[in-house]
Amino acid sequence: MAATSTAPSPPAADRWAHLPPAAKKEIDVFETELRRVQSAQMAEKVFLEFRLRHGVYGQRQDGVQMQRIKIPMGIVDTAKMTQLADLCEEYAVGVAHITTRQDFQYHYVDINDTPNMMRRLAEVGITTREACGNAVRNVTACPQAGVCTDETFDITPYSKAMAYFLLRHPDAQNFGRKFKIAYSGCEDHACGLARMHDIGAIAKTREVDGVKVEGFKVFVGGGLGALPFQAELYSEFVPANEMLPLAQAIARVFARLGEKQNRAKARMKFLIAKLGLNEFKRQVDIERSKLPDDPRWTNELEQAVADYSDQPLKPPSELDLPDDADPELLRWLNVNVRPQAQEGYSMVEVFLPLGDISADQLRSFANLCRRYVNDTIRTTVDQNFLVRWVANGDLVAFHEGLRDLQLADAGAGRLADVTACPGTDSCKLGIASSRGLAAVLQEKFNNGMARLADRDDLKVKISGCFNSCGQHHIADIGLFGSVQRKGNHSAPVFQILAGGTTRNNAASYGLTVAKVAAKNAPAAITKLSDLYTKEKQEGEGFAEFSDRLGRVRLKQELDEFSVATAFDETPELYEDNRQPWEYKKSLGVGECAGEVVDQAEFMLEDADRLNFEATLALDDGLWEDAARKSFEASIKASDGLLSTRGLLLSDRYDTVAEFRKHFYDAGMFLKPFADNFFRAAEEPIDGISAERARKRVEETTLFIEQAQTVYTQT
Amino acid sequence: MSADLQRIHVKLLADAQPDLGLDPFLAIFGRWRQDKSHPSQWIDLADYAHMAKGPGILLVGKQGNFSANRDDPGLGLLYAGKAGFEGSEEERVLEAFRRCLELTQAVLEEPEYPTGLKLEPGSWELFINDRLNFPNNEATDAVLRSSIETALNTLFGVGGYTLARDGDPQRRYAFSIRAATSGDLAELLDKVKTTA
Repeated sequence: MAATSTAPSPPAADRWAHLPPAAKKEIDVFETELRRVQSAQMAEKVFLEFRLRHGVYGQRQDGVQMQRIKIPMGIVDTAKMTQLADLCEEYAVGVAHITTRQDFQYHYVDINDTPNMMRRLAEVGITTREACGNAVRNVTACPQAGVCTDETFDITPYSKAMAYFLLRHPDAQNFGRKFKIAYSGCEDHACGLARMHDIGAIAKTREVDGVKVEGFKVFVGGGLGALPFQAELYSEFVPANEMLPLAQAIARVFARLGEKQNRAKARMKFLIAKLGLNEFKRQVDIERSKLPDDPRWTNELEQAVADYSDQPLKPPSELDLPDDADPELLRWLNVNVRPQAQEGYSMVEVFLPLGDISADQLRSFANLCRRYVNDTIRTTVDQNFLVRWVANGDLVAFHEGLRDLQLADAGAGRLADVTACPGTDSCKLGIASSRGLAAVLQEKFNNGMARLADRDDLKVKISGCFNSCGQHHIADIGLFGSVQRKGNHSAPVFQILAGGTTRNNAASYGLTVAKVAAKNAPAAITKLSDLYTKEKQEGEGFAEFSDRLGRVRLKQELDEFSVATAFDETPELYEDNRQPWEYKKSLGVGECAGEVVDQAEFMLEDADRLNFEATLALDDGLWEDAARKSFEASIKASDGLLSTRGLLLSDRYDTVAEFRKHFYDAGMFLKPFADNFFRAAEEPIDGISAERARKRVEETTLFIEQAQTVYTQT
Repeated sequence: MSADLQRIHVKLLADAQPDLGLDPFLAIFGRWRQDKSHPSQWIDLADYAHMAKGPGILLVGKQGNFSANRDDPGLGLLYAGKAGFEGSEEERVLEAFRRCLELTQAVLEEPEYPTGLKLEPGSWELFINDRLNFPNNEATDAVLRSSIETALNTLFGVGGYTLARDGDPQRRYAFSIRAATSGDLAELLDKVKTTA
């Protein structure tokens, strides 16, 4: 009997040789660090933030992870979609979830599978780097960019340049919290939600010396969360070629002055509130003036423009509808399909209830897209797909293909298109089941509440707690989960907010009007919808309507849905949606905020890893490699210490000279260890002897130990 | 190289109305997940009943997941093995069937089990959910098929079933299995237990 079975796969050593070297190296390092923390060789706190920066996020349930996969601007192609389908099938539960930041997420992932998952993502050009943690999160952008009928210009290459410029950028590695950027092609529509971001950019043009110049109206310091802030106007116009240096300067200010201890006050919105916008701008100007010219400021944009391909697969054509066209098709054409700026083409929104698509559906959907479009597919902040450049003459066949995959529901952009965060399904911070409520709503929309589902003048967004991952502040009707105790029992409830809007790039946030039992939330939404229909005035949006009626009236209307009775009388109100058992509040420590791990800690851990690799090189008799790695480790440890003196890696300083000035001359570092480092810096590595290489690795071990001591003391 | 064959999925198909509600499984799996001593090492249940296709309602465990599943080719009970398989490939495949059959027997005994979900003990799907080590190609077939057939012979008897391999290279290495007689779940379970 064989102890193990034999796989027909290639040898492990060669398996990933085809990956881009930098991606391969980065994932190898991730796997090394994973093994180090599993064998207690690395601090768990440091690893937590390290894994978050690779998109690996702890779920509410012990022992499983959520893997977030960064999809800049939501741009995917069919090869990526196929790989994403395969990986969610093999490593998760067969569902790919699209997030409100246009990312993909898998749930219930074993952390031991993450290195190979990352490698397979890298095969199709996807990285999970900086998908979570205190980093620049996925850069979002209007998915209609380039095909929209009323955009100012196509923001795609500009947003792409930003996304890749800041990815792994040394100035964006020492934040106290996450940092979010969004691009929008116009001011009026909801697609970009620019005004709820740390940096929100809205396309503008300006005439300079008779020439039309592209640029952006820039907002800063927006954000939702428990304390939502509207972004403030930073500049009416920033030329497009100034956007990357401006973002870098802002990142440096945030890294330098942002709160690092109090997690609840660490987003950039609090820094701007503390400094005031003018002082913040002054600090940004100072940083900007210090920045040496970086060729990437222009190269990234040139590269993004060169790489940008957004072409149709088919020639333009006209829609030819049969006289007896299926009413479902007509409804789908009306709701999910919009004309492009380019005549003869349409964009098709594929509605995914709760943002979920199965592996089989995703793979088949990719195959369908191959037949009709030229890889022009994007995810949306509404957690759907947008397929661009569908020739109008193909719309009927495309609908048929989607219908076969059960992806032809006509709900995109309507009330049925409810946004919900993971809530208690998987998030440690969830208080109520936001997905459960969204699922109940979907069920009701299909059974008796179709009239409500079809409204295009109301949006519903649901969060499982006050942290607003479901973006409840910017919905006409927003809900966030809470709890209400009566006697010995607790009932899940939702706070209802009214008056927010996604329009004008999320120009207003809603306010709480009532608290209702979770089980009663669908009825409360229905009542608000009916009330709006009955009492709204000509041209009045829901925000204005709710403002006019006032919170007292709205509360009165919703009072009947509160938890007014004890458990014994109405036990069903003490259950959450789609959870037929008594509710128990259970909270863990959330990872949204990551761990505040000083950059120095990261770098000292990295120094340890590098010196460990040097010892492996010694084992293999690679003396020069060992010496090189061990010196790299000393440099990394020194850079870590120098970061505590305000030096940023992109300052391009001389590490050895700065180390000497700040630590050696200041008498802070033990002389023999520092002398070894200085000698190593002078010593040639080519042809180094085995004995000397071994000595250098040992010296480096002591140098890192001393650096740790100095760091602890500072 | 050698690699562990661990990701073995076994699905018992059902005859049911396409719109059959899966909600009873919320209550069943909601209770089961409390049993921390179960060999599957349950973690939690996950609710994907809102999806027209997909995993339906599933109980997630460390050793494997168990679900009322709506993926192609249709509704059924899926045991998705992830870990804890030992021995030869044949033994591992039989072990996956054993785990699936035991959970199926248990779920059938639950008061909430939906009467509209008629299981078909002669209709099975088998997936090797590991493209990295066992892609859907001839090399994998050369390595695994005879073991799979030997395992199925134990369950359904030599010549007692048909085996159709999924030839789509995009999809996993997988088979549709149709037994000549519809059989009986308890009998099948006895066979795998005897073998173990």
